[in-house]
Amino acid sequence: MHIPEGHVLIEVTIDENGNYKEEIVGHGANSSCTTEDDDKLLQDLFGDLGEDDDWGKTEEFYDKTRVKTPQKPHINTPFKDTPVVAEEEKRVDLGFGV
Amino acid sequence: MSQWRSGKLQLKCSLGILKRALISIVPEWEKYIIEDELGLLDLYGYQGNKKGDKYYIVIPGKGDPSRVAAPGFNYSGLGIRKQRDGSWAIDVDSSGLPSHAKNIVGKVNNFVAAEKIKKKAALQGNQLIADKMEGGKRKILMTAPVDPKYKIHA
Repeated sequence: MHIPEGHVLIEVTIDENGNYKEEIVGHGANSSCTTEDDDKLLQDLFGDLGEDDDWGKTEEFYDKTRVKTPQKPHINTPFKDTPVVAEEEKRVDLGFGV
Repeated sequence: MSQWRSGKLQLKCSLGILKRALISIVPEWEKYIIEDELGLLDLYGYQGNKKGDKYYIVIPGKGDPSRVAAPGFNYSGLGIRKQRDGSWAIDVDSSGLPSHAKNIVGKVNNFVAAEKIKKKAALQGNQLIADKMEGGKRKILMTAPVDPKYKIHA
């Protein structure tokens, strides 16, 4: 299996009870680490896996749980941010002739 | 007769992921799952007696007096509650569950771990190479860039 330069190949094994173990099983060119650094690298990647209570919340629950506050009308600054566009001058023929 | 089993989930996650995990085990459960973000649901035993805890997710069994029982729950149902340390726990009557779902706590744990690992990998820009079953275990292969601080410099 080709491993890109500067990359490692990681295998994560999850058993039938959900216990998981991650392991670096291959190094690409220019990616050699000491065994200790391999462990640190894995810790960086997966160390906080169990910490986030709300993981997944943004995918399915965010919209449902979000409190929607109605937007206040801009009473005092009605034209703020609105580009001023000159209305095209309208010529009305009043029948006097020119 | 109910066969109550309880088990703790190892990884923390949202209700949405738990629901998806249950549906991945028995797709028919999708229309029977009841969820409550305040965790105030009751779970009933086979004689209609309430379990003592309150639940965030319930799949009703035949003991539930007000709901239709989901397939696989002969007597009592399934409930997911939150423990004091913030982790999830599952109470389930496994007596009528299909064989592939008997170890339901392990299955949910497995699903959550796999999804979390894959999501984490995606967020870090790692490339997923494979996600396969081998000898009853799930194996996920990915490539990840090595931070220069970890490289051996010649």
